Amino acid sequence: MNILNLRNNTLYNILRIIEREWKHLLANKLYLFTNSLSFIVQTFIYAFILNYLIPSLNYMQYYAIGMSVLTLWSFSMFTAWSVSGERQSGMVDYYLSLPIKKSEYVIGRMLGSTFRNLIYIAPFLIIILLIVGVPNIINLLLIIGILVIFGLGLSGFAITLGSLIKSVMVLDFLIGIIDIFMIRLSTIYYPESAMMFWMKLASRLNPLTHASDLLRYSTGVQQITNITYPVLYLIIFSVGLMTISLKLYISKLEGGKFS
Amino acid sequence: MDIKNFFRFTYWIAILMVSYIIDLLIMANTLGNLIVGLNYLKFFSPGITLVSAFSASFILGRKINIEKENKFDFYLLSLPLKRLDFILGRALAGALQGLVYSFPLLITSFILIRLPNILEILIILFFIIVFSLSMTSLAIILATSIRGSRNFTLARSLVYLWLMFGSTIFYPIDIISNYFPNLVVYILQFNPMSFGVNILRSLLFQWQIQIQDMIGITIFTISIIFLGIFAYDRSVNK
Repeated sequence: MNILNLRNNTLYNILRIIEREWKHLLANKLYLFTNSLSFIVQTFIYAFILNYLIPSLNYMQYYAIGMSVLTLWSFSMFTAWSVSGERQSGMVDYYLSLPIKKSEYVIGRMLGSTFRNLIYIAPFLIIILLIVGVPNIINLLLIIGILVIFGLGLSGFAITLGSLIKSVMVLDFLIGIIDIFMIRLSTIYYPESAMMFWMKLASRLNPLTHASDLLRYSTGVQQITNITYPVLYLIIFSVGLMTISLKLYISKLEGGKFS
Repeated sequence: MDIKNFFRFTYWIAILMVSYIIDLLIMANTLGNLIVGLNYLKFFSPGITLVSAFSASFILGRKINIEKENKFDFYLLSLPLKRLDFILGRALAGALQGLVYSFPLLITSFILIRLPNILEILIILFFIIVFSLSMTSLAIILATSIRGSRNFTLARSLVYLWLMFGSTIFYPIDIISNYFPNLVVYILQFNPMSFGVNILRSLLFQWQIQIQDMIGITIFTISIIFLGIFAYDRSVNK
């Protein structure tokens, strides 16, 4: 295959979109820095001190894993603003003029966003895994698998939100409300055993709970009796949202509703 | 003007207020089921009340920073107002914003802890205004000394992390002193947010106010207000 053919290749096009997402991340160094600092302070000061007040579990380990899932969630929402922002700035017209199929563009964005977010949380995750430890290589593969599946689902969710909502102010409001309830009604900060009954019900339906619990299970921080349900839940959540976001984003691009 | 602008973003104010109330009623309450030897819900409520006042005060700081970037402050200075009146007016607007913003959380604290008498309520309201004034002055210093909204956001994040996690908002100092060396306890106590939250807790729980907290908040407030006025005045004279 010569270079000309390679440039018309679907994979090449998708890789270019992924590269663009990565450059977008590097352009936001300040956001990276403040998030990293917040992560370190919350884990190594806040959770470390609170660990002494909570004798029933190793709260620092528990919190650190919750924070890595939370960071993945927060960073994925960046894609929603990016998609919505492009509609207001008129950048979509430019993207549509590129010699790339719409499906390649959307898949590239989704993969690029997921790849970018996973690269971002990788240093935190490495620090956490060094502290907590991983029992064996299978568990490490399980951690990577969970993060990739969940990351794809979150990117799909963010693209869906960004495609549906035109106004950045409305998007701010909606993400704020989703953030408030999704995070607090999950096991990111505390286990279900400490929750009230109605919170437990909400938590069972929350993908953040299942991602956090599976990561804790894989690192040996928390035991789960049956991992089939959370794994299946995350797969259904991710595949469902990826499909919805693909169809929605492409239909919006084709319908010219971005202009 | 600043108060009117503040209420233009009602949706954003509503989100943050709901967020803080949820943090208190859901997060602190659930964590309270894990924490031993302390009613964490009651303990945390004065802390989150002052955090909300801090957030509102810093909204004004961000606005001043943007005005400076857009050279809008030249127009404001052309208004028929004395320089000092203008600066004090803005600082007081930030303080009032802090009070308004923290009001729902203060009411929640009253419900959770106890309903103080009229005199105590007036003292608490005055205290929150003074605290918010000091936080607004701190925001003004940062907003007028730092160029660019990104750098201001970074500075705000650093101050936020210090005030939130390096203070006694989340941790009771008497329990912490059992586990950590004195140096850690001093670092946590030597923080304007700790002075403020310790005093508010004392007022709400009817504990005796510690003299070091009173001295700390007084020195911090007076010095930061003067520094704020000086920084704003110097910034507009450039």
